Amino acid sequence: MVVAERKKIEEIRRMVDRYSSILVVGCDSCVAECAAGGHRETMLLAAALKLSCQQDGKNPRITEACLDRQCVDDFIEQIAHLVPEHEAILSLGCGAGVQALARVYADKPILPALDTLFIGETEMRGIWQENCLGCGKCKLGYFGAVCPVTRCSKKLMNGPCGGSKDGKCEVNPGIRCGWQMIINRLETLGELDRLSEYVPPVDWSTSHSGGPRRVEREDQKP
Amino acid sequence: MASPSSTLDDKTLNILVYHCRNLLLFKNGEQKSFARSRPGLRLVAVPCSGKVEAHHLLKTLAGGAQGVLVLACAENACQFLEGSHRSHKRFEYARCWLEELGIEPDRIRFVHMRPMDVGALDSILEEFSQKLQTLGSFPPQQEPLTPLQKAGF
Amino acid sequence: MKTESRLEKVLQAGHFAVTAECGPPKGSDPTVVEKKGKLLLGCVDAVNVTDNQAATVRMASMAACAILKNMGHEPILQMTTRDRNRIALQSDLFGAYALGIRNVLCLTGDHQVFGNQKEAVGVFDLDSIQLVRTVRDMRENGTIIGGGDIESPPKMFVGAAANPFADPAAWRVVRLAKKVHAGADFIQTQCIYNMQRFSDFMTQARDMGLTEQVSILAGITPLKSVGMAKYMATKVAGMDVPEDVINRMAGVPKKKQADEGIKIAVETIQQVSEITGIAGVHVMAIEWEEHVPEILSAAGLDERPKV
Repeated sequence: MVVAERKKIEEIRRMVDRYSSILVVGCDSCVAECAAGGHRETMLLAAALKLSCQQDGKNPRITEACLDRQCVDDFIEQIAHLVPEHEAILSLGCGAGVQALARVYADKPILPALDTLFIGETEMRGIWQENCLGCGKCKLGYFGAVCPVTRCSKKLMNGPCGGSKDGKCEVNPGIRCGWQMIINRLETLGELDRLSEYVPPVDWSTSHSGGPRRVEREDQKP
Repeated sequence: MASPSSTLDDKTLNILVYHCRNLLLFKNGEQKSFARSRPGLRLVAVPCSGKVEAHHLLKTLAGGAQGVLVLACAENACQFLEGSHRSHKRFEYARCWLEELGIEPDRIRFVHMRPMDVGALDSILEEFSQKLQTLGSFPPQQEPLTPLQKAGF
Repeated sequence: MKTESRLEKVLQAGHFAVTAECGPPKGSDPTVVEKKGKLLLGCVDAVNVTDNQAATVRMASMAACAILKNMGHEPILQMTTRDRNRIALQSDLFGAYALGIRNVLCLTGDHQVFGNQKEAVGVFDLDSIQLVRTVRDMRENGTIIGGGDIESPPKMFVGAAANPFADPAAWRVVRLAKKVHAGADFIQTQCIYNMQRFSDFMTQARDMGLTEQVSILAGITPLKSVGMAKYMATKVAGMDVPEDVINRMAGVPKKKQADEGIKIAVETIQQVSEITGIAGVHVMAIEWEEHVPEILSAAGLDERPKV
């Protein structure tokens, strides 16, 4: 899923202050799982925004809505009736949701309430971990299902650097050394031999380095 | 039943109380009369304090309350096991929000209570309203515009 | 001979090689490099020039290499993959060779979070081992990455680093082997304070036959004070400074600590020179280059071979 975090109210206010009616739109998919932009967080942000404005003697009309998925047209259209009566939309979707809203509601300012961070997993309640960079050519099969591109701070492909200590990364002790994890996994699987071979330079053309990516499938088109 | 306190007579002081039903604070019909005798006070019974989320607390303030009170069972007495604990975490989260917004976090208060102790509720309310008095009104009164400002200068 | 490198000649002839490190200045003054170069002239076989070490902006390694080269030094160009992608790295290799640089040390580099440009993008298009293979392929096959021909390929003597003290411990020698197989001609190690651990590492390297295939230069950094020892022990990634070394530094008065640090460095050189498979030493006197000649002379290494 996509993991995001809410922006500080100060920054949100700077974006929305010029509008007198704001539609706050959440997304009940990924950003609900990471407790940043689901229906709960949407209600919370709408209330907080009201309070924040009241403090400055302002009283914009604030309406809240939450979509099942903010990145799919069929869902986005569900708020079509609310859009005309608001000057701007404050989105609690990820970056994809914000831009999808902007594509559908082309004449409406759409503002992000979240900072979109990464593709990751819910490791436990309250902890989300980045584990995929979307490089476009999955190499997990060779590395015991631990991604060196994502989990190593230096994207090393040929083993741990000299900064790996007690399973921690030199960058900060809150980061686990991805290469220690790869080695541990492959050791458990009895497949350490996979690591002795030289791994040539990565083909980054399938990643964002090749430009914004797009998938088109005839069988899926209407 | 305890008599209404003098501070609660102040009509500007709106307080909303979310109280867990399992505290059994009021018998049939008593809640209404308790509230009626204390202007500005609203009581909302919830099936468990765990039902009260951060957005309820903020919304209540945004809706005009000067203060919000959450009355919960002791953590080890919660009928839903984790409800009271979660409620407290949500309350703490709402306080963080208020801090970020620059609003006094003391406008919301969380109290673990013993069941059926409506007498304690009166002293809690008394103390809470005194606290709210010192905080002043919310939203803060805006300075009236001077004639020059009104004219757009 | 694979290259015109003076370092290769020294090692090929079986001499105990001596290299030292020279950090370029945080500015554009060439005289700073010249001053450091002067201190080391005649005492070392080659000089490493660091590449924005600790991710801090400094004079380009290649420029400082050229200045040292003009003074008669044999420079070793350090190249990290942190700041440049494969286009820039390969282009710099062409340029370095054109300037007369014949040695390159391939590194991944300290993470940018350690330096003075924490907001920078970390490039890491290649890793150090892929860079080793790239430089080797230029020399052996005359090709760039992807197989394209080079008109006049650079023929560099290829170096890599090894850290015997990082984790996972069992993996360190495997990584050394990978570097050797990728094409490293020489290895310069992390500075050594834990002699037992280093000697174990060398045993593993010998057992794998690596010391036959690569020249290993042991890393030496003289400690200036007990404060530095403690800092290295706790704050510097991938460093192993054992308690007894810290205690030894702490055991002498503050004024004598620098002398003690130099004494430890000299002893370390003597100890590593007795380990089979050690082909030389690499002295990294961090902003303390003026003490390199005295350390080398105390270790009996001040006479450099003419090759």
